Amino acid sequence: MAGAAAAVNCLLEQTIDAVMMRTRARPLPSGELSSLQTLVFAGVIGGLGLWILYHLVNPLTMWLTFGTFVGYAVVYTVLLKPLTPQNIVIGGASGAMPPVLGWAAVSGQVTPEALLLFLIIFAWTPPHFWSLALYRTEDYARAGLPMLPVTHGRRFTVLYVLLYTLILLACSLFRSPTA
Amino acid sequence: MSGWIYLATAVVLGGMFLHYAVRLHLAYSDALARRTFRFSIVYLSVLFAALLVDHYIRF
Repeated sequence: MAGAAAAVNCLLEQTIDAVMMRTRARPLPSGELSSLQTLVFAGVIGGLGLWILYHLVNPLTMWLTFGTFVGYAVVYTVLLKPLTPQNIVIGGASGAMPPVLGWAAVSGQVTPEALLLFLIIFAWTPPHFWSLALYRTEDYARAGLPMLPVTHGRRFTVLYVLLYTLILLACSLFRSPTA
Repeated sequence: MSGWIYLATAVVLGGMFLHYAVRLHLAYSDALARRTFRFSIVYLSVLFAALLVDHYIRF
């Protein structure tokens, strides 16, 4: 399913990927793969993934995984990324789902402990991607993507990296023995 | 909840991440931003590894 989501992202963003240094060697912009090949690959591997989760794991995990796929491939890639500098903050919810999916796969339910692991990755995502965007600002600006350093500048972004790092530290300590 | 191995790892890793963030704030450079990005990947991997180790080895 993660492979299908990544393939759909590459399919939808091939024109953006082509103008960015970081991504222009990807198989679609470089001409190594066609759109049809990518679509077929995503359909087969994604369909197979959902089938396996539904029949061999449990329906809850299948539905949560499908929701994560839609969250990444549609909500994040199509809607949020070109719209707002909060793109990776909100879209980070999809990236934070794997421990919840694993929890659901093993136990068949979603508990507060699983949500705590979600919270750690959710708080980690902004400082992670903003530190990337800081040294790739020109690249993102050229592609017309409203990443935080493009819209609000370096000082503002660095401050937000610092603030989110503090939030992340707090989230990571919720699991400590005394908490 | 987790034990002392996880707590110690979370505090040390969090301190290191914070150190990167403060340095970015005080003396920004693209090279430092790149190192911060790389460290963030190490951070998450080691934190979740500590969670796993902590689960099997309890003090």
